[in-house]
Amino acid sequence: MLINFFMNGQNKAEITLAVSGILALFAGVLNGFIGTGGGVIMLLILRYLYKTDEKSAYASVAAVVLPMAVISAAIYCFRSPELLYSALPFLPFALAGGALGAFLLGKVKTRAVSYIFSALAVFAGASALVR
Amino acid sequence: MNAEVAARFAVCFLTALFCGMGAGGGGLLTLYLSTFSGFTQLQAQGINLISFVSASSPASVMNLVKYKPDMRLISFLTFAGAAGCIIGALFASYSNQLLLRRCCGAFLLFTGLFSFYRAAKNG
Repeated sequence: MLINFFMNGQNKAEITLAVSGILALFAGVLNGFIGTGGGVIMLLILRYLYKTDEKSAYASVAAVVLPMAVISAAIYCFRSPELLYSALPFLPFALAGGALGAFLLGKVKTRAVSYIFSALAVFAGASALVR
Repeated sequence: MNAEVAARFAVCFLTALFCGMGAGGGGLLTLYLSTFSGFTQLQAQGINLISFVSASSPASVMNLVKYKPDMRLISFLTFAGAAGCIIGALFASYSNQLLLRRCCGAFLLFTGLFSFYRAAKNG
């Protein structure tokens, strides 16, 4: 019966929905557990399961990950209220950087930015694994 | 303001810049804070999340208005993701700090390689 369900082409939309739901749940667990991530998995869901075009996919990812980050941050702050005070000095810099990044999007070559980010991420990630 | 404090805010600004440009960048601040600024891994993750919310808000609003993505799909993914966030965040608060750091490092390594692949592919 289960095999028939998966073999039936008419159920493709339901299977896609179920798989995307499971992957989104996993993205959420990752976001809550390591305080980042989720966006890459959401991007994969939208691009490969729903064939969403690049720009809409990025817009959707930003819209999905933001409330996820709010929920994770709320739980972190609930568990450790002093965190809010520790994070407060960072907010102006984060807001300014985010706003400048959004302003520069489309005005500078994002490929170069991606290469710089990739290099930093690989270096930092590898360092965290060995240190 | 001493050099280390200035550096942590500079890293925060830089990661927010990456974030606003859609390149990601979240885990970089976490690892910087836990490695060089004396924050525990869990504190660094919390600060990173709060910073991310500030950094990505302008870009998210602009993108939503500009590209008008499928709100039904977004709602579904957000609901599933939010459920996962609750599980993950609660699990993190009871986890070993070194395990969190290793997981964060592994994920950042993956993200860096994925970002490199995408940049090279899109040429």
